[in-house]
Amino acid sequence: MSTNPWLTAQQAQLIVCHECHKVCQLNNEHSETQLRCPRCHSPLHSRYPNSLAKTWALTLTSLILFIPANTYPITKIAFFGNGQADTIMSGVIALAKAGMIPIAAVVFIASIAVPLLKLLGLTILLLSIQFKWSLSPQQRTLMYRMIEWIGRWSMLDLFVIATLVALVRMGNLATIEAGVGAGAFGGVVVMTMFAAMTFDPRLIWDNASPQKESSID
Amino acid sequence: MDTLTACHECDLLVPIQPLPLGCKARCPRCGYTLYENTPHNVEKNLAICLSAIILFIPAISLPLLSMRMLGQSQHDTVLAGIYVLFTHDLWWTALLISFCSIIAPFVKLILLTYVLIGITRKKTRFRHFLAFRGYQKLDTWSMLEVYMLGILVSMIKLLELAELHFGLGLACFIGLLLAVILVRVTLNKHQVWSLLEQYRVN
Repeated sequence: MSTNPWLTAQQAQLIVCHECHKVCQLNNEHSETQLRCPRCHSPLHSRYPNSLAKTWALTLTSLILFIPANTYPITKIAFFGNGQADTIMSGVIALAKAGMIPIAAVVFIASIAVPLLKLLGLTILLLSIQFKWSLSPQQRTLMYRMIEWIGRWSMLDLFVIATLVALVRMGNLATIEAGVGAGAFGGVVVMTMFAAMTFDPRLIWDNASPQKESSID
Repeated sequence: MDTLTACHECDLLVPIQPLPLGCKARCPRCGYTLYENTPHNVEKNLAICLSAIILFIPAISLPLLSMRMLGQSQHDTVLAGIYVLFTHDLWWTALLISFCSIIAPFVKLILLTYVLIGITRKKTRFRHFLAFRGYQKLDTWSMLEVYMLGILVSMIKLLELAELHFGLGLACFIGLLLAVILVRVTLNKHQVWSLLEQYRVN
């Protein structure tokens, strides 16, 4: 241990509380599942239990939900009796054709690019830990922080729908209704947010520590 | 044990050192903010929280936008959006939106106010600890700023089709949003935890 300049709490038999960040002693009288923080009484874990399995499950669920979210209509617009159902992508294309390029870009980034990049990023993080890829831990931590921070902004499209359905309900003149795709899209956002929460970023550093590398050599 | 801290994101053990006012201590390995020294602003945060709670009811029930089209007019409130989605049998979407735009932000403010009142009276109990844990859990799910961007996007979408007017609710909503962001930026969670521990009575 003395050759390793980066001593972690786990190696020193200490646990940092997830909730209040207090450093607690890990004694052998209790198993780790029974331990609670003396300050805020939340359960203590050196690493989130089953972090990889949970994150895999949630990532795959959102990947599956991503298909109905993009193929089913999220809005049904009717002007003077002429109805038209829009999926996320066709809505973006319609906005771009109407000359509203900046707003089309915002919707495209929030509803298509961000969820896809999040799923891709989570998969890379999971694979890199599972198969001990030698990617830079600094860059992977940065990627994790981006995924965690950006997740909530994908809800944008749902708030747009909530505003539009309330505003545009004028009988035969014009109505906007929400479609089934909106529900699936909400599922994608929630599942990717949960996936980012169950992922334990400390795992990135665990298999990148110099100790592990020297033991492989 | 109180002279050490461990990085929340990479688990590195770091000794705690006194910081000059306004400085942050970052993890030497991954750059995560470990702790910071900010001025004692519990009373200020409490005042902002209370004004946010007062603004909450008008912000969700008064009209945000109103639209006029060939003599007909309609207005939009946060509550109306959720109600319409419920009536269209999209209960899951309606539930999700009401959680992220009403329940999470509101409960979060109430919990934080409760915690801060406990600290200003210098008497904290176990329920204050639970309340602050609840506050931290709900923080990610409170999405008022995303809602605001949603209102802007819908406004631009409808601008060419109809005549739009701003409602009083929008002013309250923006005020609420500013208050919530101010609390999030100025609240020093590490300070709150140590104050909770310091004033604990049972």
